[in-house]
Amino acid sequence: MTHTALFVAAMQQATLSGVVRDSVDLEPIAFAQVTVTAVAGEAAASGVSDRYGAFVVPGAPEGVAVRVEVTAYGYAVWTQSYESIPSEHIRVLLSPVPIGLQGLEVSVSGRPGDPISRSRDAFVIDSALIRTLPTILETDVLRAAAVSPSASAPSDYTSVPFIRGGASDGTPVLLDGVRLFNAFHLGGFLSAINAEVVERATILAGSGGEGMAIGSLSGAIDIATRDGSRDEMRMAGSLGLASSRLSVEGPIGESVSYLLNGRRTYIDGFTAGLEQVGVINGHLPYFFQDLHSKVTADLGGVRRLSVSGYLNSESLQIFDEEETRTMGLAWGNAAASVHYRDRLGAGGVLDVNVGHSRFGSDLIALGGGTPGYVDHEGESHEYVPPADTLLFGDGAMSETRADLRVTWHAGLATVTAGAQGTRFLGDHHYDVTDTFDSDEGFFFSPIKLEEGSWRLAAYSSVEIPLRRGFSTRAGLRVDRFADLATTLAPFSELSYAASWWSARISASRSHQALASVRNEEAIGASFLAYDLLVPVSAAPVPRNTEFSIGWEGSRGGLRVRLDAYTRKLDHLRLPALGAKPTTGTALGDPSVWEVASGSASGIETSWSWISDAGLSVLGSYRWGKVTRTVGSRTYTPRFHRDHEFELGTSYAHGASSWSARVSLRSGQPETPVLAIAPIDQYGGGFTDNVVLGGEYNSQRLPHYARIDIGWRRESRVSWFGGGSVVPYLSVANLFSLPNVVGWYVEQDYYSNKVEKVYVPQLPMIPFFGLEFRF
Amino acid sequence: MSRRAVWRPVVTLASVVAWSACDFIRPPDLFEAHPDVVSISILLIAGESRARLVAVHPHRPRNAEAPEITATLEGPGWSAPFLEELELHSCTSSTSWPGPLRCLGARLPEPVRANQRYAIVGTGPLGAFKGAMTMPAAPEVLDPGDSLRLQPQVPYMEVEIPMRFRTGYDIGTVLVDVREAFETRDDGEEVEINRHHLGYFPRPVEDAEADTVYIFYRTHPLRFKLHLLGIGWHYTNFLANIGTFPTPKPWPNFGIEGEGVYGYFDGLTPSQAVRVWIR
Repeated sequence: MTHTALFVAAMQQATLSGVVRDSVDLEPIAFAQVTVTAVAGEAAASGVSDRYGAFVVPGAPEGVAVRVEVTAYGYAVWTQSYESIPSEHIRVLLSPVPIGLQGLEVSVSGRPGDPISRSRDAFVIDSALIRTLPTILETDVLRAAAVSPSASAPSDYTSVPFIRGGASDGTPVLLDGVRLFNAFHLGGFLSAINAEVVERATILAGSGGEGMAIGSLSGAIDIATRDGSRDEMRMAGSLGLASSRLSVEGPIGESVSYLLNGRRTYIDGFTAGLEQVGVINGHLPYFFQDLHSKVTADLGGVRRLSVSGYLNSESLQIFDEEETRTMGLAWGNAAASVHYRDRLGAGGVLDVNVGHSRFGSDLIALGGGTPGYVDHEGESHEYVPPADTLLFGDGAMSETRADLRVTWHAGLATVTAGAQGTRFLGDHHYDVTDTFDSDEGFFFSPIKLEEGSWRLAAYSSVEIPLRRGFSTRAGLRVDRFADLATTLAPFSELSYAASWWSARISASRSHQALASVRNEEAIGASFLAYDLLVPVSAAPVPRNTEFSIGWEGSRGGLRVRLDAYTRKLDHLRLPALGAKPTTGTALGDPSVWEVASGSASGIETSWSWISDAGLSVLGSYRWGKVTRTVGSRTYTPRFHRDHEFELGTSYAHGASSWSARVSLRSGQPETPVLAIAPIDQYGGGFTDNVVLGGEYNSQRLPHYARIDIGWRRESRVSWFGGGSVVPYLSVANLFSLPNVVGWYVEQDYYSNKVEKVYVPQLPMIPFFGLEFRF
Repeated sequence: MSRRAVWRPVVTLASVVAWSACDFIRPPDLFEAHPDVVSISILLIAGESRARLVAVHPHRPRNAEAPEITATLEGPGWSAPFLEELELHSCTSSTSWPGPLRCLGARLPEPVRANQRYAIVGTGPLGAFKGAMTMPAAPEVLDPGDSLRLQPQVPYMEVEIPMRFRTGYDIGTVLVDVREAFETRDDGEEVEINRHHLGYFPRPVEDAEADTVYIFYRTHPLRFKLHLLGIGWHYTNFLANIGTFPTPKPWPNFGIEGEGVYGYFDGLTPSQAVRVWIR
């Protein structure tokens, strides 16, 4: 074809747009591949549906008959021919792929999609993949996210992963477009988002591409919930060891759907029952509960409106008359968001998101009382209630965010532009007495802080296909941090796509003006994932600069992705290491934090293989190097591991499926011990030990290895009009491999032997439960 | 699928779980540190003409061989080797030292002086060591004065002695101590009693400038001397790092460093005595 012909063809191009939905429940289908081909020629254009199922295919041949083909994993191919490109949005309904089950042919859409191939910017975990992995306590979206090579679990006790050497404060967890603070329960062990309603979790590892709209230091974990079934009312839930979950969804009229779900633990009731029958001495008066709802209106074509609400609470109340100390801890989250989408011209889409999120807490701990007791003469002494206040305080942090985003197509280019306004308020006031500090000092420090901040941002990016398989993306984000600074965050990427592989190189920068009270070097941080965010009160603004290069290829059912990255983190706010970093408080006072820096670089590989025979394998390996520099001291942070290997595999046979997850990791950093030197407490008549260490974190703990295994079996039942029940059984750390968080020294007085006593990770624990779907 | 087939995987899993449940948590490992490491504790006391040090092999069994070290104290224009091997109670009141130890003494040509710089040099099994420190200035008692007479209100009660004092920046730890305690019996005989009968002494003061001393009074007339003891920062730094997790480098100054030698080298200076009579 001559250049003239190419030019004429380019001028004769049209734009196809529409929405892809599941043909049964009309849920939008993201990441569907849409291809437009001229029936009589070779001219073709393609696009991918976004998170709301909408797609726009610019550059489609105009004035000729075309064939439109839509493919999505787990669905049958949809094909339709048109005399010419439709000028209106089209609606594509994909049918779930029929698969064989014991001689029956049933339609299920619950097949895990390939997390690697769906997005070039992210690792995408869908609801089916979340259920495929072995269950830890219960199906958990944040724990599943750690299968991404970019995500690393800082310990077995915290479900929220760290992204590419950044801590959790740099990686917001978004639920339906709004930031959810402390999105977990049980100190971080369990995510606070009901897995029943999760459509997918998108792990954005970088700040470029889709990450530009987030504006954070270390990507984001973006959790999208389902819209709710549009065909009939459905119910799903589970009965687990720790909690029960229930979700109800269905249509309201023709074009509106609802989704309502909740969860409540029965740890309090369960342990109270055990206490009553004499199995345990004291029960644990702890509970958590969460509630989520969503209403979505399909306004025709790409137009839609959805409203989401989320509420959770957690409480630990120990007011026991047999104790001399009492404690009342209560905290919780609330979030609401509205999303509106409309068409903008022929090939444009307008998205408006408004959201508000709030985390509040109220803590009190008392001490100094006297327990009731009977003395040696048989006289009864009354209980004297605690009189001293050891810990008290309350606090809140909230974020209100409005986001307007326009995506449109000019020729073959796709342009995205957006504007954001974010208001953050942090109001924390906690005080801790010396008594509490000495007893429980691993977790709390006094904090008194009340600050708010405004952030206004505008961003734009453009994606342009070039010749011979090359394409480029470039963008710029401008942030105005009120009373701090105005920052520029550019992004550029050059990519090349061949028939079965593609490669890309990119550079980007990002900023955020929120810091954390967490001290990741404290060993308590391995057990407590909670965080309080505070605005950075003075310039410079924390900054991330990153470069990455990636390659991706697929052959048959095998797909491999390889990424290398290097990051520089400037102007972080971190605590000084101090003399004894390990025993510092996990939640410290940010007013004494110093301006610090960090770096991270690594190589990530991930591979997936999904066969039609029921076997799927998902693996990843990551090598990385992470540093932090505070003052004159540069060190490897305690949460980092040089090597991480993850392998998840599942095999479905008949109605049963087996799954296994293998985690092999190098040990976390530790400080070597050079000597245990005694000190004579002058005049005290006894000695204590001082454990003298070498360079901070210059040595590594023993390797980490863990194998989780799971089994589930789906049975069709006729109850409530028909549905399925799925008993599941899983074992975390099947072989009870002795993984550790750290160790300390203990000396036996009599034998004088010194032992390394390990602080353990998760031991072998079995979990079981029952899921149902009607 | 038969019922038996359904439960087979469950039984298999349960068996594996039961088998591996024997070893839930990683058991402690024996910490293998260098057996020839020596820990040296030296606290010079102002006014005394003898220096004492405790050298211990903290990583050896108690019945193993005690450390062989040489050490010399260097004062203003003189040096005094630690040649005397003393009884343990001459160096320390503690009996819970980890490992075999020696209590060594050095006779000095003059009493140890406040504000004076001293150094120590020596060799241990793994190499040479050295250290230096300046004796802290004496804490200054502002209140009460140099003597105090008290009349207890009720027998068998604690007597409160409010104190105000001033210390220099060279003092990291301030202890309050009771010395030369005498009780007058019913027959008029005055006998010296152990200071621990009057309370837990020496003990750290609770505030940087003031403290209240509680003396347990046992009906008999009592007299004693009340001191404040000022100890320098090397000892204080060492004390602040007591724990079970390692203190990483760079360590604060402990006053002594060397190959395979750890510990502290510091000084203690008592205040002027407050003479107290309770009757």
